[in-house]
Amino acid sequence: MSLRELSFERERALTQGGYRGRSVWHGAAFVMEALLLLFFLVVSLTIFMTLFSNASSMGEHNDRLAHAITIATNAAEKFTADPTQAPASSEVDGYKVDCSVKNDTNAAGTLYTATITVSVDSEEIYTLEASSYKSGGGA
Amino acid sequence: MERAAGSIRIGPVSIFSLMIILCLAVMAVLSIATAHAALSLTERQANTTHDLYANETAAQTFVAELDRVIEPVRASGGTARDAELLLEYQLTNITALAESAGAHYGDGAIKNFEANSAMDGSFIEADFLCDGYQDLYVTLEILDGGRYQITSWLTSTIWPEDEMDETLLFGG
Repeated sequence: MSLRELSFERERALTQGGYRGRSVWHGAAFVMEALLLLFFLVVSLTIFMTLFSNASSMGEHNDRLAHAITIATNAAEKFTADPTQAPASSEVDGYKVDCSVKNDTNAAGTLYTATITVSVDSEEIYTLEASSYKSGGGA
Repeated sequence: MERAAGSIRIGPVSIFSLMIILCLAVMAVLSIATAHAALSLTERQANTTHDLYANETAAQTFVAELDRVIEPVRASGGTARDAELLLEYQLTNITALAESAGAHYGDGAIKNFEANSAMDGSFIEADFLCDGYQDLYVTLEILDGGRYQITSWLTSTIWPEDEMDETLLFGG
């Protein structure tokens, strides 16, 4: 074997050996880093999903409450306009509106008081009380 | 050396993942802050509506009681002065009843409800203040024959100076 061939063989052995050694080391590091990254990803995504879920439920609650306030206010204004014609129960946009009216009558007139409850799927969302006095002739 | 075809480097993948996580973190914080702010604002609206109707209830009770007090004058065809004399004597009681109606509004949760009234000749003014910021001012005029007329019914909100700089984005 000539000197040039020997040198080539040595270089090839070194290269292959070195390459093989680095390959094993890189593979372990890759797997380790990939596992760490995966773990970090899973933990982060769990936290973010919890946050997004909380934000979503808060938004849903906010939407229902805002809608219930509007519906209750509308029902209260209808009641104050004409307390004798207020419907005991009605449904508006999927929300159930219950109106319980009490009246306190004396010689001068009648004070009507309504308790308006807005609920959806049997869950009470907002309650409002409204009063309206109808004089027998004083006003 | 030429890289083998199909090999993956973890560095860019890590950086890409970290950037995604960073973006998700920012979006999560923004969404929760916005949802919280919107809910706080709606809850404040719910409380304001509640207080508004508490004032209305108190004022309606005030008018009902006033009407009940002057009813005998109306029945006997008396003058405005007769009704005024009766009211001068009964105004404190009428105001106390109205205040009680406001304080016991709904589930009786209103701790700070105030009702005040004053009489000046044939004019009566009453002021209802709920939770220190929601105000209803009512004036009435006593007429002949035991009748009365509501001359004003004004709702207003008192906005304290120290709450002017409150943060609304994070729900105050």
